[in-house]
Amino acid sequence: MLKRKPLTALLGLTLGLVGPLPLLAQTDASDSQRVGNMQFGNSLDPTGWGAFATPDPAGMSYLHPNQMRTPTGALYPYPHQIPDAAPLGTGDWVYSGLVEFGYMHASGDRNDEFFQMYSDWKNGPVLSMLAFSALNQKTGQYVDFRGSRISSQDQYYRLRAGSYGDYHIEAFYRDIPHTLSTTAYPLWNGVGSTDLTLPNGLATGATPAQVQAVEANRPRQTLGVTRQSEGVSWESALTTNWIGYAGVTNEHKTGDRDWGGPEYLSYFFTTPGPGGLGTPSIPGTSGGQYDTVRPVDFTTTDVNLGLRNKGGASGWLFNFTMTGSFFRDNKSTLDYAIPFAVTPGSNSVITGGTWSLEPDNNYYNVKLEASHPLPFWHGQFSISAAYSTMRQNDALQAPLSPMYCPTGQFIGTTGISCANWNTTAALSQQDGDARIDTGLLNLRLDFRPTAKFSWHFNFRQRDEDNMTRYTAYNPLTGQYGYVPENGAEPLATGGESELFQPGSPLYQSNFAQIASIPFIYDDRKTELGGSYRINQNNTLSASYLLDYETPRPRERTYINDQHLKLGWDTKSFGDATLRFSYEYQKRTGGPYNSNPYLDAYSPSQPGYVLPVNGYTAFTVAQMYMYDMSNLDASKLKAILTQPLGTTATFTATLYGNRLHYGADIGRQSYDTTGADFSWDWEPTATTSMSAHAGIESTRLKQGNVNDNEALTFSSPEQTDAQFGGPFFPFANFWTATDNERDIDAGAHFNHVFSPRVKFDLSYDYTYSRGLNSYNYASLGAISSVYLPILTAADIGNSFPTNVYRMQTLTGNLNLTLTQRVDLRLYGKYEMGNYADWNYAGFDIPADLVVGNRVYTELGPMPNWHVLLVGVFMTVKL
Amino acid sequence: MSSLHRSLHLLTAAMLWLPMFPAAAAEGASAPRPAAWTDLRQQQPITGDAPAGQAKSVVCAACHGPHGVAIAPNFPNLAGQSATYLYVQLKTLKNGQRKDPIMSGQAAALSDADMRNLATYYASLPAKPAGLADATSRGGELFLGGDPAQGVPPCQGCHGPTGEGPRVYPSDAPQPPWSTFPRLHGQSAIYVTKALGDFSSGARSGTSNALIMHGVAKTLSDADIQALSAYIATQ
Repeated sequence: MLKRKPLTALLGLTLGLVGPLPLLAQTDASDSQRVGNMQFGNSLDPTGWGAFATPDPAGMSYLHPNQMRTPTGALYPYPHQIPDAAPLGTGDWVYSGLVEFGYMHASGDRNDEFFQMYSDWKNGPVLSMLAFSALNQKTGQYVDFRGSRISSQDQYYRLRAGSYGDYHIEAFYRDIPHTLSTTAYPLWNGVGSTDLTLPNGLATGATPAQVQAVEANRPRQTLGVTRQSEGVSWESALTTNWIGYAGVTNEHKTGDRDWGGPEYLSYFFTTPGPGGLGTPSIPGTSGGQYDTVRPVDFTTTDVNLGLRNKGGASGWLFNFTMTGSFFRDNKSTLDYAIPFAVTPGSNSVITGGTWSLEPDNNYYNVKLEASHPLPFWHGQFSISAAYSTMRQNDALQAPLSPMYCPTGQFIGTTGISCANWNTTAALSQQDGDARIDTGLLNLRLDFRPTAKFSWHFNFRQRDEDNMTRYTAYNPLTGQYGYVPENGAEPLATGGESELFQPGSPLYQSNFAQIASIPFIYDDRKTELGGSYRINQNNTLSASYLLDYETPRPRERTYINDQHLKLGWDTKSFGDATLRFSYEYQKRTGGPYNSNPYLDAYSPSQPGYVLPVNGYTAFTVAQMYMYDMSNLDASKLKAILTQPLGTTATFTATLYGNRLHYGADIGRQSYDTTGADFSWDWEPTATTSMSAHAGIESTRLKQGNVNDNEALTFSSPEQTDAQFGGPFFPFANFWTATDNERDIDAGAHFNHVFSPRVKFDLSYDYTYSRGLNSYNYASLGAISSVYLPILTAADIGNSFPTNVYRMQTLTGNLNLTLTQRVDLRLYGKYEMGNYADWNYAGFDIPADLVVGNRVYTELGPMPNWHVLLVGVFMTVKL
Repeated sequence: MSSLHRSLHLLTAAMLWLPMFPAAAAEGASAPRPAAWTDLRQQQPITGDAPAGQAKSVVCAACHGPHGVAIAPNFPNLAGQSATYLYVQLKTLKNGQRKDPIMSGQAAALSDADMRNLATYYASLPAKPAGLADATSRGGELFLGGDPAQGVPPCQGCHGPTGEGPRVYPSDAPQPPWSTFPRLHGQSAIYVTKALGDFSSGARSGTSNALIMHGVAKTLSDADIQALSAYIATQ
């Protein structure tokens, strides 16, 4: 029942359980239960409270001047004024409300991808805020509604009601847009559906020039996804100490996005240009790489139901929660026709490809949390235990589509019959039958023997068991493995190396994956830590954590990850608060096995016949996975909070992480250095200013070695996995370094010129720069596929720099016309520039066809400028 | 987009916005009401000329007594009271934020210097002698410990453990305006009952301190007000 209609079933279950419960004593029902969306806002008003954000001159207290500071020294902002309330009827209810509506207009590059990314800006009327609140001060009952609508793709509405200390219910509806591309020119008809067909005039076997001519006239489209969500939640004090809660959220994602479409490599067939090396090469016309568009039509239903005790039944505090999450993919396949023959000139049988998209997924979790005070050292014992299971059991899809590899035909000259692979009879099982179970137990002891000293001990065991087993066996042919790339690979290569069949001279020696690999992770964390307050101004803390993992099948049978953390919080330097923290991490483990996955490959099977030259080394033996290799890491952070007088604060954060992996092949190091600075000033309730700037640099370095392709399949030395051996010689070593620099800065100003004139202005700057550089020991590091068309000068030592920069200036001027009517003027000017070498050369739609490769989008605009203005009337109800 | 186009955008934005400032200022739209209370949170202790105040005190003595101890229980004792508190009361009586049929008229004629001098004079007088307050009475419990279940804070937090004024403690946090908090010690039960009633009803709400007392007094039942008034009168 749950598989097909989880929302209906669980709503019924929830209501059935909740309905009869009485709403009892006036107790403090906290709002820990929320469904999905915590923050309701949009690009016009990210806070969702802009229309109410008038600072209250009364501040937080009538007792003292100025705002209080947090324990670390940051100023609390002024609270907002409570809107004037009017009597509602003749009872004790009062209400307040507000409606703000207006017109927005965008000019300039309004279709830019970044400008539209999370906003559905349109020229036209906007309901920027509709809010209504009613409160009965005598009974504590309340109703609160808030909504905003920029467009049908960009809107939210939320209703909350309840009685303070008694119960709370909430319901919401929301649409959030996410634009992915505004410069898409998909070659196919049927974008958004599960069947992409070629436009009139194109059929498999077309030349690049023919496809280019069609592509040049394809219509521009916007690709994006809209998240539509709705939900209800309930929380109530069942008795003085017992609180029940439940919630259901349903999210529906619809739209389309870039996707792939492999029909075998086309790069192999690239040839030097007429001028030889150093001149533009000629793209190959075999294989095919397709940038398709897939539909997005997902539904995720989350349900939770819980019971909490806050009063200490026999000294225990409890929280028991049951959670279910049900993912449904309403379009679970994608078929696409291809314009290019995989092997030009031949009578190609492969005319398209098919995808199996995400399967439906059911997730269930039960969790119990409890704590109990201990009679000594002001101690507390806490325990949490959880069990979850995740299951997928969709009907499996045939390896090949009967549309593109029809029954009765064979793939090229391989002898592979389409009929043997284009139905689910080619599978060893008809359903996924996938399951992962996870168990978690956490035990914790906290003690504070003296006012100055506290310590804790934590034990956490988490076991993840993957029970999914799938053997890729075709009962129709008696073969293991699969036919990759929609049948294009055997068509292009004239053979099939991904199939294994005992007793068959053609397939008995193939190195093929024949089964899924069920990764299983068991993890035990043990931590001991404490803190000591030396005096009123200084506190030291330290902790040691041992994380013992036993993953399988992985490169190491066990991992010991040790973390030592030290901290010093001090107020010894004037009125500043300084917080230092340092963490040293050291990871070691069992002996490293670079290929622990052999059980899932054909050589582990009976009937496998070792080729004369053995099989190609799985990978270089010194290739260490970054989550399995040794690691020495240091992380240092310092945070300064400096009050400046009674109305301003300066904050600076400096941090640096240095991670050095014990590997030459694989990830070598990952370093991060950053700083953040901010200044906040709020001299009065009517004025506030702030400025901030942050910079972060990261450097990720990896190493690898190209295999000696001359030996592949032709020499027994191809089995030598050692770095420095004949198959992975030092001369073929290369490194790649990814350098990123990100900067963000901004300044914000708010001022109430008079009770009738409010103004705020914000400037924000974001900059990101990425550079991928590389070095290599010799040209042997370059694949022999490319060497015929490249020189060392062509290769260079880096890709072009990628840059993203955006600046926005946003202002609001609010004029009070009468006691009930305000006029609001909104303006936003955005400019930016963008460079990404992945889109280099894509200027017009015809550029999207390169040899046998078809791309879909031109990429974001290199420069954009947009002015967005709005005029709004605010009417207080 | 050309730089000309860009400039036009900016110009348009400027033209849309800038004229709104003088236009807004010129309009006569009714504004939200100003704060109806005097903010005492930054009030500093006042100084004045006590002899000059004494010279002005003849009229006051008619009700508040020749030595600042009231002649009838419906009038407050002024002797030994906080000078800043007295000054603030006179000032708010004069500007209308506190209303009293007699005192509003009396304060109207006083200059700021007169108010400071009178306040300083009465603060310099010896307070009424201590009585025998019963700390175990309901009033005593409320004064010293409050009633957390009813949301009543202890009075001594601001008025001192004996009602003789606040006990100031050192702190880095923003400090309350201690000098504006009155001593309650020995005020008559009738006067305290009336004051708490005025705070509770909002009749006396013209200062930030009165707004604090509004929140406090609303938590007190009539019986608690009686008990508290009786306790304070015997302090």
